[in-house]
Amino acid sequence: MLETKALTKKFKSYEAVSNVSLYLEEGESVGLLGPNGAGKSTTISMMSTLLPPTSGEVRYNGVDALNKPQELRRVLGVVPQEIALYEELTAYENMKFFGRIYGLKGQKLEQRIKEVLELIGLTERSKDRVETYSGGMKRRINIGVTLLHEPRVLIMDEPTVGIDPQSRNYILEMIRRLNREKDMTILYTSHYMEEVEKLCDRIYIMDHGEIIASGTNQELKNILANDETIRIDVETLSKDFADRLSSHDVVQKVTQEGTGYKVIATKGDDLLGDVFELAKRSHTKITSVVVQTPTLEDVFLHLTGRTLRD
Amino acid sequence: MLHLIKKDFQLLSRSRSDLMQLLLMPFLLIAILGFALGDLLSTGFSIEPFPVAVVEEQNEDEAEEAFENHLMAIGMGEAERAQLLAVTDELDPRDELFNVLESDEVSEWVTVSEMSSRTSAEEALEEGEVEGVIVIPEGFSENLWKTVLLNEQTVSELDLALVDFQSVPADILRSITRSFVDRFNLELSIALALEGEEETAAAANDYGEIVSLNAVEPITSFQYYTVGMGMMFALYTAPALASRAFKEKEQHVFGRLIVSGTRPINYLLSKLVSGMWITFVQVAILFGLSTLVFGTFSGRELSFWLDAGLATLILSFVVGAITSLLTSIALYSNSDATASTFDGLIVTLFAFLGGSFTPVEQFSESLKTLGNWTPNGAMMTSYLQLLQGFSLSEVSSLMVRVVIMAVVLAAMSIVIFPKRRLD
Ligand SMILES: Nc1ncnc2c1ncn2[C@@H]1O[C@H](COP(=O)(O)OP(=O)(O)O)[C@@H](O)[C@H]1O
Ligand SMILES: [Mg+2]
Repeated sequence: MLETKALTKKFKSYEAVSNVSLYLEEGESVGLLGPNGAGKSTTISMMSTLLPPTSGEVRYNGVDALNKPQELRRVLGVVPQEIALYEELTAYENMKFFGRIYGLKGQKLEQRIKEVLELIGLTERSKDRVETYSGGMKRRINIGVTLLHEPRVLIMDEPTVGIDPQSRNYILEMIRRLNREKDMTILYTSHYMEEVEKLCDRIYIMDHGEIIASGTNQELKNILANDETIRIDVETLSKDFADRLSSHDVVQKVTQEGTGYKVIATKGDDLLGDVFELAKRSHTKITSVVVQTPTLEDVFLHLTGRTLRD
Repeated sequence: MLHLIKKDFQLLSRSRSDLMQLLLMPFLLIAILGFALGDLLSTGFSIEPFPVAVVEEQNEDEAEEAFENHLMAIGMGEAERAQLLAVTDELDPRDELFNVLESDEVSEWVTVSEMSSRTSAEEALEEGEVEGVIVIPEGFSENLWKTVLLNEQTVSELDLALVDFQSVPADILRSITRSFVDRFNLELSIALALEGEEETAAAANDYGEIVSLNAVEPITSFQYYTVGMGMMFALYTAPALASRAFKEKEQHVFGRLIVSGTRPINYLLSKLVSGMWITFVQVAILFGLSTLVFGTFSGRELSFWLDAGLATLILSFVVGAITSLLTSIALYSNSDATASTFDGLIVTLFAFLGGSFTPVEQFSESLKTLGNWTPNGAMMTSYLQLLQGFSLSEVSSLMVRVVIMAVVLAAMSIVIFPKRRLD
């Protein structure tokens, strides 16, 4: 339905997006996961015909959307990463303004405003200026304005950044419903892997401007099928212990997390026995050892050697 | 497009700082300057008499003698000659000119001194003792009499020399002398048509109309500063809107508008129209409020308000064009530095040159000329002239100049505007 081919964007000599090819099928919910600066927003800007790419294509139903953006723009809703609203105006006034920009008017517009306000749970506060809203409420109205014209494709750029868990769950639930009940096609961008994991049918992982992996949640985790993640908590952190772990044959990566270490290692060997042995040699007391199922975070770590939040 | 304009208006009317800058500040300044500088201005600007020298190159007796010689030369009889010479006493251009210059309306701002020769008058002009010289050249009266009384068609003109061709009194003086000559010409042609009927001499006395046509009305300090502050603060509307446009880009509202299918050029045009509409409302409020509170323009006729309305429309157009240009530059350069510079520096400079603070002709004439090349200065001069009773056609050249400026600025803004590259 919507796809990009070898999309590339250079800012002067810096390549923010390189050769990104991805696609969305009708009714799908797709995640674009990557750390800050990966090039997610730039990719989205190009997909939504806002930013001309240096090279590559964006196609909507096979039509070149860069030269003929009208058709795509009509069915597209983009929720920008920023609160792209007039904060001096009320939620209602913002909706009225943007609704009109989309060509809605009269009874139909009022009706849609009412529906969307209910959906985003802001009916009560709709007559208040947006600048008086909490972060979570701003995020919700930022999404709401995009839903007025009932877009078929919804592209969201980190719509839950910097808000409380309650608002976050509200938004995630709302997006899930839009996808399931209204059959909206969704591209969801985030650097929170749990969100993407929960919400999306398919996931692209992006780093340094490139797609480094893609597939369903399970497919991605299968990348780590031969690996295991072991979480080791210790009484006092010890560099010696960490070094010893790192130099073990099957261990791929050791990262310090809180009061312990996270170890990614190849499955099969009796690593656990060795772990206790190494701890003893470096005079480190282990308080707990947990073998974990891999998360997308681990996949990212495996692929890039860094965590998503680095 | 209409929603875009309505939204700009809505946003501005919600912003306390913008309202303060665009309405409250100028109003306070009008009040302060109007009261404080009231006397200073009235002596400095319009009441101060404009000294004019009148030179009669040929006195009455000499003129009559020359006319008599002419009559004898064409072989006219004694009795007939005496009759015609008696009429010449009543039909004396010099007296008529003095009647005009010393009438109540004109004498308020013109002081007349008679001088014996053109050279001494020109010296006085150079020394700055007088600011204008009117010369009734040799043969002027004689030519007049020949035409009226003898039906010999001759033409003669008054000479008018002015130090300062730009000042308002100079304009008026020029226009008076022109009408004076025209009037004579008219009388003469009537006389010719009537072939020397005695009526003409009496009719030639009736110059009252000419004077009232050009009667200058002194400008009060409140009028001066209401116009001055109106022009200056109208300029502030442009950067206020342009920096909002930049904010729209920064906060990605602009992106939202584009994704929604708004054509970038329509966005730019909406800024132009918003600038225009907001300026019009702003100036209307300032002028209206000033009239309500200080009686600034009370008692003016409808025609004045219509002319002023047209002037305000033109002012609004040029401010709209500046808004459009500043918006273009801000979006093109991805910075509102230009709008800030305009707001912080250029408005003040233009306001000074345009005479918003004080009439700049008191410093130098070229400053005034320069001021009339700023949109606000040209409009300020236009408003002041309208206030002094000039007709729209008399001030139209400055207004046309401003319209041309506006068209050029708007065209520039469209050329600069990034139509496709939005990054
Ligand atoms: N307009 C721009 N000019 C120059 N560099 C930019 C511009 N926009 C983004 N970048 C750079 O491109 C990279 C990717 O940015 P972005 O797409 O915003 O990443 P993400 O959304 O994944 O955090 C970053 O390094 C950023 O600094
Ligand atoms: Mg981003």
